[in-house]
Order: sequence, then structure tokens, then C-alpha cells
Amino acid sequence: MTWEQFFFWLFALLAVGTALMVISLRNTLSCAFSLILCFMNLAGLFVLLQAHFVAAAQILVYAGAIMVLFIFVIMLLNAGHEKWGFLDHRDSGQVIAVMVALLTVVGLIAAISQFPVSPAVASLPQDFGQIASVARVMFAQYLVAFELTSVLLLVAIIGAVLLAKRVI
Amino acid sequence: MILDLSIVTVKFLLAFGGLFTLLPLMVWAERKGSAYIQDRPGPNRAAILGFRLGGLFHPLADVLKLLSKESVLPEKADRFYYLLAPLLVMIPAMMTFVVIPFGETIDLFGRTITLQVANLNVGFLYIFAISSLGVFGIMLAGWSSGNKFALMGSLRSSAQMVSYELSLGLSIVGLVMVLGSTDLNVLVSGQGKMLWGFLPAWGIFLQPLGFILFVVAIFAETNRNPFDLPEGESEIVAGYHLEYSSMRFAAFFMAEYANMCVGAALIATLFLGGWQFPYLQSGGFVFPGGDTIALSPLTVILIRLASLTVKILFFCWLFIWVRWTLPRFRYDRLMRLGWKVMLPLALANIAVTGIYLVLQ
Repeated sequence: MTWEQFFFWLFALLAVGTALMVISLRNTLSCAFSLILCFMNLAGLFVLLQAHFVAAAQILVYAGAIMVLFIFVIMLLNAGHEKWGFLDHRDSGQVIAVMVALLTVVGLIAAISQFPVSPAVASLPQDFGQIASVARVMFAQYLVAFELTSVLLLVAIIGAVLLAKRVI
Repeated sequence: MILDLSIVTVKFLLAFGGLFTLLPLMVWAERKGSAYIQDRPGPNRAAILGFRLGGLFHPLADVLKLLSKESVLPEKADRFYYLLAPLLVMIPAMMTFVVIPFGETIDLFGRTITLQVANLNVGFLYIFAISSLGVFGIMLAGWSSGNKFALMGSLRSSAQMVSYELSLGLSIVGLVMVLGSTDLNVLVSGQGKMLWGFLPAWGIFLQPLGFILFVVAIFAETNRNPFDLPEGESEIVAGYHLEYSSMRFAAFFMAEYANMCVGAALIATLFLGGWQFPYLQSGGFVFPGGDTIALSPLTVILIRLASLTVKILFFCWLFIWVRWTLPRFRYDRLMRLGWKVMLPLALANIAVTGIYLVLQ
């Protein structure tokens, strides 16, 4: 087993394990921190895939900014003081959740199988995954899609402000 | 393999040795500096064999005091997170230091060594990614203490950090656009050129507005006065580390100073040319008039290391200087400054830089 494989399995198993903890722990704050750990392990996987920019963005945006807001809300509601331990999922919601999850897995497998699977690491361009090459794809090749996405986010923000604030 | 490993180890020890030497010195400078600013003699009692050295032994005495104090675990505290929080504050503060370049390359044992612990091509994004994690320790500390004041401190801290992280990131984008890289090594060597033949092309001259925004945002990110609302002694007692005592309190204390050192190192690296010394090329001095002074490579490296150290020390002192000179912001003012002044200015800076680069 090479070091790369070792780290892949380490990050992958930790990512799955922490993801399971997110949905099964009783303590809300622990769930949030499991999610942060999960994001960090995903960032580790991205580094193994030579996608350094995506890895940095993963930690910066998800683990850093978005999770700070999550925890901010948990603290503001003064939730998270529940006892330690696991949740007792034994309700009808669980059946629906498992079915939705299975459906997602099937969809993902169908989508991924469209692409040829090949050991393509050797043929990667020199600057793959670095900021310059990611920027070239994002701001030249897919500029319109990128801008449309950002407009979508802007609309969502304006909508949230409108809904939350009575007087503007 | 072993040689590579030992090179990395030596660089690691050098960088962290420097950092850990700086920490007690900064505590001393803070206490002595605040004393002189307030016109009093400051700490001068701790002595070893009758030598006082201007109070330099006081950090040592502080450590002894903190070590020997009782470490209290509050009754309402969430035990696991309460013990975890000091670690979560310390680790990110240390981790940022590894990407600061402290010299150009040197040739030793027949190979070229970069004077930087870790060279990452995503450069400054790594710094922001790690420093954005530092806030979790502070949030956890306040929340897990089971104290309302501590929770207030945490909430303030998280809101403040998220707000100023944006300006912090955006204030550098202009510099990255001008110098054309995000790699800290390239950023520093890019600042070795000359503007109009005589002015060093340091970030502070290329991006004066970016420099000001960055320094202000760093002050907010390190929770230092005038942005030390998460601690706010007069309003919320001591904020997030209110319930901590003994070495656990010392961990927060050290993390604050480590953050200041790293912040100072970042300002020096990004905006003051890092290890660059004016007119010093790798072969020696080259003055604008055409005069040259040849120097040996070792002398050049030492001058550059000294240059970086002086810059870092100056900004460390600036943190202390500002703390004992300016009053604290009011909370709504802090938010207004962050969102309505700093953010638009940072965006305008990027737009103007972009237009200039296109027209050039």
C-alpha cells in the first residue's frame, strides 16, 4: 500500500465516519463539529486529487465561514446542551430518509458512470488544480454559468432579507 | 530522504523557535510598553541573582505563577469542549506560521533549499483557511463555560471574525493581481523590483489602500484593541476566556500573542517585501545611481533575515502601541465599519486595480 492509498483510506473512512456522526449524535454542537471534521477530511481527499484550490476553498468557505454561522445559530438558540450519546432513530421518517439516500446513490452512480474511469493522474497538466488553471476554466470557459450562479445566490440573499426583515 | 527530512525539521525548529522566543518577549513588551505609555515604571521586581534586566524575568515569573495555580473546572461547563477549546485556539495560530518565507533559496549540501517550512502553491488561501478555523476555539470556549458573559464574548467574536475575514481576503486580492501570483515566495520576490528606478516595489507602495485595510482587518481578526470586543473587560468581564484559569488561560493568552506574531509576519511578508532589504540583490547592494557593493551569499541571507525580523518586530510593537492608545469600538460601530466601510473600499480597490491593469 502506498502512502497515497493509506491517506485515501484514512480520509475516506474518517469522512464517512464523521458524516454518520453528524446524523446520529444527540448533542447538536457535536453534530456541527462532526460536520467540520467531515469537511476537513473531504479537503484532504481533494489534496490527494491534486485539487489544491478546491481543498483550500473547502476549508475556507465550508469549514470556516458557513460552519461558523451554523454554530452561531446553535449558540444563539442556546441549543446543544443535550446529553452525550446517540439519537434513537426509530420512526417512520427513517424509512423515507433511507429511501431518499438510496435514490441519491443510484443517481450519483448513474451520473459518474457516464465518465470513463482511468488512472489519469500521470496525464494531468502541470498546473492542474492550482488557482490560475481553475480561474481560467471558471472565468473564461464557463463564465456565463458562473455569473448565473452568483446571481442566483444574490437573489437568495435578497429573498432572505425580504422575508426576515419587516421594514427595510 | 533522511537529508530531506532533517532539512524540514531544521526549518521547522528555526521557525517555531523564533515564534516561541518572540512570545515571552511580546508579553514583556506589552507590560513595559503599556507602563511607559501610561507614565509608570512597569514590571521591575522579578530578579535572578539580583539582576532585573528591566523586568525581562517577569514572563518567566508569570509562567511559574500560572503553572502553580489551580485549574478550575466550572460546574456548569461542558467538560469535553471546555478542555478542547484552548487547544483549538492554539493550533491554528501556530499552523499559519509555516508558510511565511524567511529568505530566498540557499545552496547547501549540493541542493537548493527554500527558506520556508512549507511551500504551498495555494499560498495565501491556506493562511485564510487556517485562520478561519481559529474562531472555533474561541466560540467553543465561551459556549462550553456555561457562563452568560462568556457566551456573549463568543457570539461577538464569531460575528466579528466572519465580518472582517471578508475584508481581510479582499484586501489582498489587489496585491495578488498586481504581482500575478498567490504563491508567497513569488509575492515576496516580486516585491524586490523597483518602481521608477528608486522606490522598492513593496506592497505598501503598490497597494496603499489594500495595506491599510489589511492591517485593520488583521487587528480585528486577532481580537486586539480597538476591536477587542470579545474580551471587553468593562462590559462582559473577560469574554470567552472568563472561566479559564491556570495554564488553560495561558493557552488563550499565548494564542493571542501567537496570532499577533503571525499577523505581523503576514503584514511584513505581503506588504513590506518580506525578507527584501532595499537595494539588496542576491549578489550585494545595487544602488539606483549604479554603485554596487558586493557581499557574500551568507551576509545577504543574514541581512535579509534581520530585515524580516525588524519588520515583524515593528508590527508586533504596533499592536501593543495601538492597544494602549486607542479606545474600544462600540459594537454597532464595529459592524458598520466592517460591512459599510471596509468591504466597499476593498471591492473598489480591486475594481480600480483591475481597470489599471487592463489599461496598462
